[in-house]
Amino acid sequence: MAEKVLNIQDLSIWYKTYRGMSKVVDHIDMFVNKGEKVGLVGESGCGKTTTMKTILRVIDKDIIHVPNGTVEFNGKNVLKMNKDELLELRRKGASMISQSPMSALNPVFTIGEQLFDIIKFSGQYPKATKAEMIEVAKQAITSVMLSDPDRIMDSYPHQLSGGMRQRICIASSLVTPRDLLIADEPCTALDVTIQDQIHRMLRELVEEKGRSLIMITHSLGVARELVDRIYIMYGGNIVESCRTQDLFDNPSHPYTVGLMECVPRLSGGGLSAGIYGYVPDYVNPPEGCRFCPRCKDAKEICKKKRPPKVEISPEHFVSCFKYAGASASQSEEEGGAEKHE
Amino acid sequence: MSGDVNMTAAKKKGLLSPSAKENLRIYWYKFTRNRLSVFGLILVCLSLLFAIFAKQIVPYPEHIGTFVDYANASQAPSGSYWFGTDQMGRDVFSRVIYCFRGALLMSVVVLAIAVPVGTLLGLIAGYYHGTKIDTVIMRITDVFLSVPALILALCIASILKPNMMNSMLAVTIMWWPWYTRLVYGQASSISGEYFVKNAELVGASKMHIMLKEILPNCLSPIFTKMALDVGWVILMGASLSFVGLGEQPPTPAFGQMISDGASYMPDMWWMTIFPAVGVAFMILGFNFLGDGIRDMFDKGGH
Amino acid sequence: MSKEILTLKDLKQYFPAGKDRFVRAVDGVNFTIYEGEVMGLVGESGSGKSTIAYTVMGMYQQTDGEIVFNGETITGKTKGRSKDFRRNAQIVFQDPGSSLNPYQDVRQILSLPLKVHNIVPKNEIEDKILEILEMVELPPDFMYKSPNSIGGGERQLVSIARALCSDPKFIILDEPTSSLDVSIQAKILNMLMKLHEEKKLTYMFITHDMGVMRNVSTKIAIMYLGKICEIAPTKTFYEEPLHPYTQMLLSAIPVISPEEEALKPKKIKCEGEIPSPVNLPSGCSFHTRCPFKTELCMKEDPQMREVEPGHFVRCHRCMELAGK
Repeated sequence: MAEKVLNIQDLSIWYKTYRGMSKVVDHIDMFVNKGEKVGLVGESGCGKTTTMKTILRVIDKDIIHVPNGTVEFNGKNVLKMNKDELLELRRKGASMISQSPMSALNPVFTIGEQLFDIIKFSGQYPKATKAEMIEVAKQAITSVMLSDPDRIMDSYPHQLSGGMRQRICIASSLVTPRDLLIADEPCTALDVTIQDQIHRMLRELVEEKGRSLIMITHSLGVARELVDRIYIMYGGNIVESCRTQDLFDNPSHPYTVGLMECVPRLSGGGLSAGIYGYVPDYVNPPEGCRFCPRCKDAKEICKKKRPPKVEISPEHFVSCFKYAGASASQSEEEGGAEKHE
Repeated sequence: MSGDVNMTAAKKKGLLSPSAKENLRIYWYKFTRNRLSVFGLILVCLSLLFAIFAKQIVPYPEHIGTFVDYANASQAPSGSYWFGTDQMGRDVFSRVIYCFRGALLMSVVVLAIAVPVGTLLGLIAGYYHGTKIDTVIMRITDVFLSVPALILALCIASILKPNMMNSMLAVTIMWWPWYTRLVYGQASSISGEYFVKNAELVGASKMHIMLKEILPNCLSPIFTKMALDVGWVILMGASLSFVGLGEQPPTPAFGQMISDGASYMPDMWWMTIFPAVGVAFMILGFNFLGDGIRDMFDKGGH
Repeated sequence: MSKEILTLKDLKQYFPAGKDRFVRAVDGVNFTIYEGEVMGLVGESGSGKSTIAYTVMGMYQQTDGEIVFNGETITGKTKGRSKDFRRNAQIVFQDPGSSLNPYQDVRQILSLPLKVHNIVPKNEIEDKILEILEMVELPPDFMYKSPNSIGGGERQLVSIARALCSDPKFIILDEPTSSLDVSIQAKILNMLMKLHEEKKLTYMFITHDMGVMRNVSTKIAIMYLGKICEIAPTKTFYEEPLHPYTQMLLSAIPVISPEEEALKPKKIKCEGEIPSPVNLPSGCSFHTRCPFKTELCMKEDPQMREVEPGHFVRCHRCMELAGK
């Protein structure tokens, strides 16, 4: 059994709004093994970024409420960490690459100055001299395949292109050895040829050092090319999780199937009708399955009860009543993912 | 489609109200999130009541005019004279309450002129961003902004006859450029938005684009600034009347009362302290209210 | 051959960037869109595809060249466009958040073009709006909703409805679905194709998503640094891409099935970034990223060549590389 870097169990996250509690993330289970690349795929507003921000505890405590669940990072519960432990987690444990490379860097400092700050406060190089810091920063820049590190260290963010800025963001999260890298749609703002290069680079960086990666994305194509295992998220629930190959060979949840049909193919073949409707209202979510109002195969039971998690083939879990009949015995157990690992 | 006409009319009533109600609820929620803004709202409401019903509230309405009662002069605050009396025996409480009236009138008049003028000029300059029209309007505005506000107002007020009317005029002249600046910035960024481009491409008139497309998007900062400005106009008016360029005696005004009382400090402290508290009361109220309105229009947050 | 709707003749659009320097956003573009076609204009950001759209619509005064719309040359000395053009050509913008005024409701938004062009008498405006809403399959109660209270997909439908108000012949779609989720994107695209059939509309479809393009367009043009590299009918384009940049674009797309994987060119790998349009590279502007470049490519800018009927390529070595 592989070592788990991250293990989320039965986690719910609620936002406080003027209309009441908005139940954005609802009882999700998820884990990441050491050295594994995991994809979290879902459309906007499904709670994927909220989940990841909670892992690093970067959401303001005043606006969220976590009614139940645990987030274990290397065996420690993140939700109960004190200030020092949290600092340690952010310095050495996990880091996040944000969606917009435009706003992740401070426009009034040079890239070099920003990298030095990160090196200084990482706690990894307590007695580093200026020359040593420059060396570390240069290494970080070359590791993300940017040539001419001297020039880049002297430039301000606005002097670099979007792709270069995103590379710098990745570099800055790699100056200290990390166990887990969370990439939150790192390439949505970038062109497809740049995206391809950054994905290749990310993969190499992660594989070479045995790090783990969580790739948040809305694109099934990106997930297919980059990760080992995929979680499909809809309306705050994880509806399907399995190995990448299994997902594309045998998509099982109606949402996954619908999502896959929606992707316009390079091989042509016309357009699908799409999935009718919108993500659920999180303040008053549907009582039963959250996908049920948009689901083509919805039955009476779907409206009333939450669907169980069913293992339809090894390591392939689906939360849907469609598969509940055959293997009902395994389905009721909470945290089934762990047992079958 | 003709059969739908009646249905449409019915829908108009049924559909508009729920969303308007919802909006009000959101605004109220955002406004009340900050306790201070509610406090501000209460102060402002009280100020309004004082101003409107001054005659009914005050115990000695006749003390506002040329009234002399040396028997009760220079009395400390007591049961019959809550804020004491001044050197001529006039009730300070009655006079302070009457000051609210003048102060509010001044801010209403000043803003009623300065805001539309400033907004219109800012709107034109912002829409014609980068052209000669923009340069002319904004440079004139800059000239006004470059002279310290109080000094400009003092100059204007002292050239003219010192009275309430002219002090309002002076404050108005120095107030509009702020709105031009504010609206200019907002309007020039809004005119780059695609809905404005679309209206241009469709061929809508300039009038329509400025008033119907751009202006509504500038309203929330204008309202916020207005609420904050009421306090500042009152302060400015008080400063002018402190140096004798505002409301002339015997009609009371905050600045004039403070300056009169200053010569009797510290023995007759009530003559200065209570009008000063009155000014602070209004300015605080409008400032907190302004903050609340800003939060209300703030799009972010939950 | 069917009627020409829009023809660009050597269109150039430069923007000043400091002293004696220009951003060559559009640098000599020629193409023709025929009636009933859906032409895809594909390129990375900064390639000048939106600038073409805005220049055609008259938002910029072109630096040089000519635009012919519906048989008439519309590029005179002035920036504005005739009333006739404004009625017949419409644009749908990329960002549904900024293309609808948040302080107006849908009724006000849709009534503007109806009023300006006097499409219907004043008292029938509401009926006409209902009719248009029905056309884009939005329920009638949308009339009184504000853009902030509806979803992104619905907002884009309202934008499309607004473009349809004046009953146009030609619509420019500037990345209409790039900010939407795939499940909603499918619905919008279907709607656009349905309208294309029903109203005999002609589209110029700007996008960076080659997957979408494959399924909606009849003809595709690829832009790089203000110039067109390759124009071809859709099918040829995906099966036999000739320009190295086209191949690079195709190879970079993340796909979800082995059939698609097979279509991706294997020979080429993505390298480098798009250079600044202020300092254009000498010769062929793509040579800085091209793995097949020669001395000639660095010196001389290639001419557009018609390699097959309807298939134009701007590359010195395309025939040689294709093995023909």
